[in-house]
Amino acid sequence: MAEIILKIENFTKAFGGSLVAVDNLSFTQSRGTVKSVIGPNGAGKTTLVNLIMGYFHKREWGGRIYFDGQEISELKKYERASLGITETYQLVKVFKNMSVMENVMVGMHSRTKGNIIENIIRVGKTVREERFIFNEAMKYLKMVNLEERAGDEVESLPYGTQKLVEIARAIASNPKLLIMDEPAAGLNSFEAKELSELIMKIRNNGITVLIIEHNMDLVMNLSDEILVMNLGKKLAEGSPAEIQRNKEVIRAYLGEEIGFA
Amino acid sequence: MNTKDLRLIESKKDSKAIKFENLNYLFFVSFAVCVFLIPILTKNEYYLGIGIFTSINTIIVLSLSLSTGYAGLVSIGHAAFFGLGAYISAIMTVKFGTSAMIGLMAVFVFSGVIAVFIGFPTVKLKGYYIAMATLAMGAVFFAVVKEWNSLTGGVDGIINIPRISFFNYTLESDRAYYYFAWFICIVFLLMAYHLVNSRTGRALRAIAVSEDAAEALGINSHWYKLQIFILSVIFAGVAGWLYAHFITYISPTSFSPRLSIIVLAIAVIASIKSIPGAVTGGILLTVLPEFLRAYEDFEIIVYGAFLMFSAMFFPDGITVEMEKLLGRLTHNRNN
Repeated sequence: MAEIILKIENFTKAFGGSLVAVDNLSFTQSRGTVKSVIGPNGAGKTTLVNLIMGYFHKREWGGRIYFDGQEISELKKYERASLGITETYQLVKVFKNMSVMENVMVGMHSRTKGNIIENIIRVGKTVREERFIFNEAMKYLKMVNLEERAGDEVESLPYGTQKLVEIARAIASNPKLLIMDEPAAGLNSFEAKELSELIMKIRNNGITVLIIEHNMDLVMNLSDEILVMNLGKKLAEGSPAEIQRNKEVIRAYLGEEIGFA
Repeated sequence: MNTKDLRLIESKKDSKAIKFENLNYLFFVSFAVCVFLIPILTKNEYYLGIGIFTSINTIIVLSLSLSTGYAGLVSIGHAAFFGLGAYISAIMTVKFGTSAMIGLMAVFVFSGVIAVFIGFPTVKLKGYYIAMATLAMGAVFFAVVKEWNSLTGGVDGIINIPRISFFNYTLESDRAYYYFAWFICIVFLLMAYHLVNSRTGRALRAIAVSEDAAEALGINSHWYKLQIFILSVIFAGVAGWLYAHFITYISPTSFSPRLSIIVLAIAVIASIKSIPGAVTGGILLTVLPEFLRAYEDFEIIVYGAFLMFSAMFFPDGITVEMEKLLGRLTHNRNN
């Protein structure tokens, strides 16, 4: 049986005391797999991502989260990121004041150690580290076919290309778990196909991927497992084939079986 | 395309990366040579004084550029940090009889400690809140130095502050002071250049755009903001130290909240997100008041008008817009 990398136990998060966005949700994800979370708007998918990433203080939610064999419920967002959890966003959050290359170089942050004093004086160690960061970042830019755009201001790129920069930045952090919130949102069919190939490439590099997505073609083609949420609860969980056959899922979310490609 | 971009693209080959990196250092060397030549070209003491004030003002604008421009911590209290350095060293040298160099050590220690105490809660604030908090800090500092007669001399200030001396050498002449002040200024500019183009600098620039995205990459935003705030306060403190030992007399009026607003306005006009912009800011901060001396009552209105003009026609500030223009001209010529 595959090793569990992410274990969610009884996640509960309410807003304003009454609106329960995530309600006693539990699931696991195996290392090296692609898992998709689907559900109608308001199902609690984005809140789930925010809980895993550590957006909320522990006192604001119930349950426990384990990652790579250790409990991380109390850890802050940047501490979780340092352990190997990172994300890409529904609406891209590239660093608009930087070039494409610099964006990806920021992704290397948790893999490097230079401190402010060393950086100011620019000791030999810093020069070597900067060269390492640069060369590694170029590798990730090549992975998304953007090496020729390295020097461009990221803001000057089309939206779909900015998404690729964001993905390159995320994988530059060498994550164990990459959470992608609606990666296909705003992309045309050609870009979505390229994205699908890229996600497979990321998975083949041993990175576990958790996707929140509405694009059913993408979800069914990429996922090893699918988790269906409705009104903050788990409605179903299983392989794409199992989910496509699940009558409750069809009734509550998909409406009709022909919704699958 | 600017030099940095060229460096990035050409850096596919390491030797070329070094070549373009060296171009930036060449700029620093050329700038240092220009600064070195000015006292040789002019014997006029007035111009030397202007030069010294420009170096001090450049450090103030640079310190604001690091915290506000690069890290997004809007500070409207920088005159207080500038004054802090001036008062710490003035008190150490005049009241306790230490040397100016011991005064400098005290500036580092006290500015740093005060920056930690103020910065720890403050840098957690965002947007307008941090601006308001720093504005309040500036007002409190101004009130304290004005009212604490026994230590700061109150409204009369502190007189007879000695010139800086080290290794039995005193910077008595303005020419010596000029070279010393500019040496410190260029070292600070070089340090800032290294910083913004490093792991730490990129982390800060990332935080300024999206704290969420930065933290998702393992960046502890609070820790980085605190560090840059401390560095910014220390830089402003050293500017205050240079100021106090140059004019040898300080009073609260030199560090009023009004100065904080003027420094911020000029930093924005000059390009607050640019290291060369700090030099432009230093020049403007020195030269504009000289021109506006006759219209002191309207000074703040003039700065406001400049700010509006800059926001409309030079949104990234004069320096960055000039760099863009030069980049376009060079590009056209090459084609």
